[in-house]
Amino acid sequence: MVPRKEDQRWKDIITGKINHQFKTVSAGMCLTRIKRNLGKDANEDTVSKAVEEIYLFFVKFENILQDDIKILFN
Amino acid sequence: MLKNIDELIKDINAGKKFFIAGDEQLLKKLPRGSWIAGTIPYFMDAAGGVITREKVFALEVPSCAGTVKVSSYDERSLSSIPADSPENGFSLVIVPALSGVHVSYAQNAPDFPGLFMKNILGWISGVHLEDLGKVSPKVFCGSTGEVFDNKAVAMHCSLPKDKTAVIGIINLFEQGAGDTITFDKTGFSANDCMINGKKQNFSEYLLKNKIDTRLPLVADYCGSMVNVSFQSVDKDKRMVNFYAPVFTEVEYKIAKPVADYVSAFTKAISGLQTTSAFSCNCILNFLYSELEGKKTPGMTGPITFGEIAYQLLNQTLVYLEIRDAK
Repeated sequence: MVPRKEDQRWKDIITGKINHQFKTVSAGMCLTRIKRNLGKDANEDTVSKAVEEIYLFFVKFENILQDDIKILFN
Repeated sequence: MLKNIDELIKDINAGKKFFIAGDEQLLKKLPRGSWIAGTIPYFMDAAGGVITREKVFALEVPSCAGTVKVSSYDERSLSSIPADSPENGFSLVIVPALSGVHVSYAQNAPDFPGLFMKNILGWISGVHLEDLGKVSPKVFCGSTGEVFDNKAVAMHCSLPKDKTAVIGIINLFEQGAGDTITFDKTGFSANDCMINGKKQNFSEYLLKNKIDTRLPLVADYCGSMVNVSFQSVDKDKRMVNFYAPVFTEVEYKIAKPVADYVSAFTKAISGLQTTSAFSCNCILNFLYSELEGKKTPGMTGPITFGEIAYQLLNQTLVYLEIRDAK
């Protein structure tokens, strides 16, 4: 089950505080791109948009991210 | 599978839809229909790796696919590929090597709006290595009959609700234990780099350390290993050229050697419970691991000048699965 967007763990994932090795290639690439862009410009607005992006990605692909979701959120 | 051109012409005229790869002179004979193609004479067939200008590789679009739409893209419109891709389905993209769209896709795709929210895969078309510099790689838009060396083509395929597309990669290269390398500019070439945080000229570093440049740079993308292959090291210009761009803010390492590609590959796919709906593998793997005549079971398709799994990859096998949606 994907936690709510307000869950602190989303922010921890995009900032690298939670460091997870994804099995799904799109997840790893998406997160890497998010982190690269935050590395260039991290502020409240960009972090918020990044959380929204990774959250929506997980919501859409929840079925194929089951193994990652279990590790990250359970 | 590899087909005779006459057989494929009949199938296209019968209304079948295809992803096609083959020599330009053969592709020019194909009638209009629902297909896209790219030029290349290297293939992995069920019988093993083969080089041929006498047959084409033609893979039928999965029978469960619904709407199939073919589009072409120039450098300005490339970024709309994800928007054009169906909400549930996949898009197979073919980009001609050595073109502006190739460079643009390679450098910009990671930032295309919605790229990772859709299933985008594909390959970079090429030529026989004997024809490099003489003939340009091309892509074909079967629905219009157009041939491009400066545009990409894409076939956008929707899937029913009970099916889902999944893109996977098989990259046998892992990061070695050596130096961490970063670059302060994104691009297909580099003069200087940072080696463990200290600035050095990259060509000098490679030559001094006798690095085997058949091994790619490898970056860890949060669990997915992404390669950048070496094209050339120019000692006089003190420059290194790559087959894909290096990106800033990404840490690279030289790959660990793979002793036996075929054995390592067979082991890698043994855990997969899938029959791929499409796959492609890199020509550098074909050449360096001498795959002509050897098999990569379950994964057949064109041998390409680059692979696309969302963004451009090197020395990687990319495959598409169509799974039952849970």
